[in-house]
Amino acid sequence: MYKKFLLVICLLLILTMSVSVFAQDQVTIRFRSWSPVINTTLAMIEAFNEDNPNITIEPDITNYPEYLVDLQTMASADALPDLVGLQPGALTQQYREHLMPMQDCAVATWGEDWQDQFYPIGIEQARLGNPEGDDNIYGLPVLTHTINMWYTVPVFEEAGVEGPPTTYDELKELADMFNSMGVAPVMIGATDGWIRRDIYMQLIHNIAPGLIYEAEDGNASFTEEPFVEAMTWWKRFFDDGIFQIGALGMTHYPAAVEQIQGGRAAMFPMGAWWQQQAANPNPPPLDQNIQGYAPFLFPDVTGEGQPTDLLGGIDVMMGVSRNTAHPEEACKVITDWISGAGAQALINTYNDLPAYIGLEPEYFGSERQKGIWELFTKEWLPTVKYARELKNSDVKQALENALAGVAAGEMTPAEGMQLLEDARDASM
Amino acid sequence: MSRKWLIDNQGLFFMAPAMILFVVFVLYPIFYIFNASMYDWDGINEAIYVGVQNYIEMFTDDRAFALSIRNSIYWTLLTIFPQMILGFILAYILTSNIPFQNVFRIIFFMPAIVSPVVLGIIWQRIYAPFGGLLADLGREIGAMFLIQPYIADPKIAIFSTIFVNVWQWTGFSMLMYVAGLQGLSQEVLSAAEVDGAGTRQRIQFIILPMLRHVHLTLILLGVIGTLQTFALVFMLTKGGPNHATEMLPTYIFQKAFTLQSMGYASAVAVVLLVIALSASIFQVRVLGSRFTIGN
Amino acid sequence: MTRRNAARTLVFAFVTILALIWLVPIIMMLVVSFMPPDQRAPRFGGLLIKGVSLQNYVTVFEDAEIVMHFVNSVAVTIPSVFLVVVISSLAAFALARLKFFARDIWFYLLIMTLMLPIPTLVVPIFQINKALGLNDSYLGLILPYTALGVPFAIVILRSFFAGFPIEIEEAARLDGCTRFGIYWRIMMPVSWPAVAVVIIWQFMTSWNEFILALVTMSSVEVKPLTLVPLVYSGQFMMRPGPMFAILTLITLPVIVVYYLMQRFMVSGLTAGAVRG
Repeated sequence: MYKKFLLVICLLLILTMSVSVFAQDQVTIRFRSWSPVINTTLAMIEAFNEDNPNITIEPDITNYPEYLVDLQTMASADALPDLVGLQPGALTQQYREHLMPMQDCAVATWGEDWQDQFYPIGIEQARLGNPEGDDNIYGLPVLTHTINMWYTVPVFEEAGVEGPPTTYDELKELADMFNSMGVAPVMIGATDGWIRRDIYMQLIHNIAPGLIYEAEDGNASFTEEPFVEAMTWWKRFFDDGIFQIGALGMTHYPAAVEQIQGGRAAMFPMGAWWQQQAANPNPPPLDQNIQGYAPFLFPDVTGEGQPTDLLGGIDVMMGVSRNTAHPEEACKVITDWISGAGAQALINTYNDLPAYIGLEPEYFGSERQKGIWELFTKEWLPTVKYARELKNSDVKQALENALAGVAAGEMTPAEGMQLLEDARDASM
Repeated sequence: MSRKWLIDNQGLFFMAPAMILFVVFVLYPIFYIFNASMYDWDGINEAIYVGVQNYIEMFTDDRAFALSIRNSIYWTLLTIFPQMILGFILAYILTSNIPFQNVFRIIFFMPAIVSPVVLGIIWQRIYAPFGGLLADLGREIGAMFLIQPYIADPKIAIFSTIFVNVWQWTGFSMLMYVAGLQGLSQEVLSAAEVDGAGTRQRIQFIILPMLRHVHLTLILLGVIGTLQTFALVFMLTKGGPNHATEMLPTYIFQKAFTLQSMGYASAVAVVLLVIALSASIFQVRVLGSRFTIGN
Repeated sequence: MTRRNAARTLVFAFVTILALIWLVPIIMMLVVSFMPPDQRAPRFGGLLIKGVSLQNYVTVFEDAEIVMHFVNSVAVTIPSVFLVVVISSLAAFALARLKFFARDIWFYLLIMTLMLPIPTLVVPIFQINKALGLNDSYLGLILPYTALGVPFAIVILRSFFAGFPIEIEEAARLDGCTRFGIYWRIMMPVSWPAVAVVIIWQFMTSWNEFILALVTMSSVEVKPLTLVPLVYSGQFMMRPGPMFAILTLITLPVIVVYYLMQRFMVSGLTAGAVRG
């Protein structure tokens, strides 16, 4: 498999090199991102080059935190690569001045009604955080997702558990049992700020859907009761042993993931992207066709009633540098990766849900796997109303800090929420 | 400038490369951070002058900064002296002609040459309270106290991190003491033996005082090491949980490159600089211009 | 003498046990790197694995450019070591043996910055490199590493040079030797113990430096080995085996270098160190 792959790449390289000697109009596009992973990116480039041999794409894929540093290095040197991976909201806004508006490219490719061909949440979020009156789209959505929970099927079976919990009492009962078995009830690597935030977003969504975005805009206060209540639940997850011991000192990727794959977790928070486990090389048994896992909705812990909609948004979008020498070619690459041959190669790895409606993997390892894919694309993703991400980076950071502080027992839930209120006031 | 002046001062030519590098990459940056610390600046867009606002915030309302100062003090005290004591004991044993002493020296020194990036990743697996080495060991032999949230509990995380540093650098202290012990004059030692001094007296009254330059060198290098600490913390705990293991360098990095507050980061850097300069001046005062490795 | 022998055996046992404990993290790194690729969450954090496989190393060599990163580390470290030795020995010679304008001021300035932590200067150096167009190039690391390594090296070498007998220098001067000749033909050849310490110290700091490399090198092609775990942590995130194979591969060269230099280092330190 790998040998073949390498061979293809070598051949391609030789081909492109020899072509570039003869062809005058050979264009090179530099691409930097944290997602998709390098092997997937190479497959997308290969698919793209079948019809577009005159465009060479040079990818550099690094992991997210380091990518942020590199991006800053390059932006301040005014040397952004032609194509960059982006997250909606804060990150895109930070580099807005360096990015080219993409709507013309979209219209040229998909026509005037191009927005209808995407899942609505993707279009909405692409503009997240734009200043008043700026309707430009600085990045086109490539992949979307939901955030939700998963459970490990064999672990549930072995313990004789019928199905996932839907209330806090059920969750607590399961947690006590799994703790006594030496299995993590809900495995979370809470060193990573984003996973702390994901849990909180689902808790507040359970209590008061939509309220947090109001507060972010200054139309509600973060110190109101629902916010404090959600924060109190967060703390209770640690105190009641819902999360495994030492959760705060563990990364979600890769530490928690390894334990999950080793079958040492009963449940875990993750999102639609967890399906990509099936496409990794040498998958451990649980990962094969994701046979070991099943997705479920975040339980109605607060007793307010389970929301029927999930939180979600854009996994990765792509933008083009304002300084690029080849805007047309860059547009061609992006749009191919969203809806063309490159997109198909991407989706075939189940990397995450497509932003463009109608794409499907060409192959599933099992009917069950296909069922999970369709659950996400047909039932869950279309219901998504609210964003997983916050648009104000100061508030977002304050939330991550507050969650860490409260979990560590160094501040009360109310004090934690005060941090968010202060951060928002300071940034407005 | 006359020819004669140049000949009399030809030392300047010898100094020139060092001076140029020093001015460009040390002196200028020092002025630079003083200036940048007066601005609210994200490194990309325009900077806004804010005066001493960054400093005011840092000293009155910045828990993470306070913690990183506290941690630096812990780090200095709890790395340098344990490393020296353990290092000396090992060096004393490993210069007493026990079998395989060279092999032992290599083993104990080995962590010092391994990149802290690598060590951070390895020690995460040791400390992980779920599936980690210590936790699994505890479960297996029934020593439940081994199952601790070593780097998850803000109260103990800093000590767990410091422990890794001690493990890494004890071998270096050992090697310095080995070199020191081998350099000791044998006559003095044998004379002491003839005088009937026991092992303890010999160590206490002769060997330790004669190694004072090694002690001072290790203290100096330990302080430098503390002020430089970045990679280990960055990989092991990212400064968390909730800044419990934050050090000044990790905080500078986080502010500058993750949170894009270059101005604020510069203000923190100025504080670190002032601490480092005071330590240098103190060292110059104590040791004079004479330094320690060397004679 | 049996009591003495018993004591020695006890000491030997103590050191052996301690050494074994000392090695556990390194052994763990090796063991996990040989774990079969579809295994996860091995017991004891990875000290016990089921079966042994070389597949991780194959994966790493196919998917990661370890050799390229190794070359990058060498391309940064060797020049910085070389420059530090040359620049600091010249300066140390001048400071120790020559009189010139503002000599003491320069020396005190240098010694002040002895403890300057690299993280302090990471923001300005980043901006200077940007102005000079040095970000993403070897020089962008070589020059700052050299600049920050020079003060420490000067201090070590200066005290070594200062102890050199004046009579030999005067004799050489009478024979018509220039100042540079004295530095190059007389001082340097006998100063190798101090130079060795400088080389080893600078090698270790440059090879392992992390924060400046992190912000200076943004293209994968120029990143040195210390950044490799970060570069590939996205790609090998789900796979502890290849990750630890990478850790082993970046650690191995340093251990080999140290093993070869080991005797040299102790004798260098001994010759240079501590004559109270």
